[in-house]
Amino acid sequence: MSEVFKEGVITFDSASKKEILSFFGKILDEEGYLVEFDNPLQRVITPDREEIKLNEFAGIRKGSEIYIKSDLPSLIMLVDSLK
Amino acid sequence: MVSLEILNKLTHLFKININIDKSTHINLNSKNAFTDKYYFSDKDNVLSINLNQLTPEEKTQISQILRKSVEDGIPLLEEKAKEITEDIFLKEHSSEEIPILEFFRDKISNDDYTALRASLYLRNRFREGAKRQEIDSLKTGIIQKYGKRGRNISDLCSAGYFEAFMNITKTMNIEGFSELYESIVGKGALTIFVSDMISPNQLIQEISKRINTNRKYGGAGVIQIHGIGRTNIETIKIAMDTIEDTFLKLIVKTSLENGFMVVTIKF
Repeated sequence: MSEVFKEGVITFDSASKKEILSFFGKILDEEGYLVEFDNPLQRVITPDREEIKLNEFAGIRKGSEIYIKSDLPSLIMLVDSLK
Repeated sequence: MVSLEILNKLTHLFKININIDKSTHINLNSKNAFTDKYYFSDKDNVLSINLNQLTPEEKTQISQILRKSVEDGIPLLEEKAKEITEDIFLKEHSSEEIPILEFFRDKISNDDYTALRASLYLRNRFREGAKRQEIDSLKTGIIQKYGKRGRNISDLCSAGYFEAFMNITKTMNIEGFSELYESIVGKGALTIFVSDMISPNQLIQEISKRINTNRKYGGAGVIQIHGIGRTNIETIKIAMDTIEDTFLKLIVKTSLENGFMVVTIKF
């Protein structure tokens, strides 16, 4: 197991994104952004207050569920959060 | 690696009889690479779960397991994101990157520092021969997050400026460092930092675009092109031959000192 994921990690393939999101009560709105299933007007945001499209969605981590984007700066912040 | 609690729940859910332990990696997929509900690879120690083969009840239970897992601090990540995250960690702990990261850590803003870390990773991937599409995608992520400043940091990093900066500013106090740093990083639209990621043709296009745009809107008639090292200097020379043939009424001033080239174009 890699050093950065000392506590473990569970992975999913890109084809499973929508299913994974549904497990956490999230769906997509008409523009392809992640929204709350029970409140489709409420878009999911990252800690930096960014909305997330399906192709940008990279995962979820602890912190009342923090949604992770797939860009480099977001993954660097993930590295920091795992320290 | 995951907790025994999660493994026990999965074992119970799928009635798994094979030898999995907390070092087993769990992967969820929907590509139907296999037709069973799960597949265990002894060789890789990976338990793959085929979401497409699960009943609604099983999906509900998986959903509960995953939510608990995230709550317990185990991230749920797309495969590619996991690979990149591990790669970032490895590279940031390399003997090449540690000195740069340690030098700039408390000297620049948090945003600039993260942009620098992202740019170092981008540069590494370029040097490893990553495809153009990947490089462009990584760079776009930096620019979308940090705008023109992020682009500058990325270009400066690729061009070797941060290493050169370390050497120049070692004996400076923090005020001197900040002033010099800001004068370079904050330059923005008027400066192009050439790196080995830019070909002569791409540089010609970039310079042409800026001259045409500036002339169209009556903007500032000055552009600077910076390059460090033989290859980048050669790129600039080749590009400038074409630029000077293409555009009229340019005043070009070139300085070359200690392997740094600066070309100033007034138009």
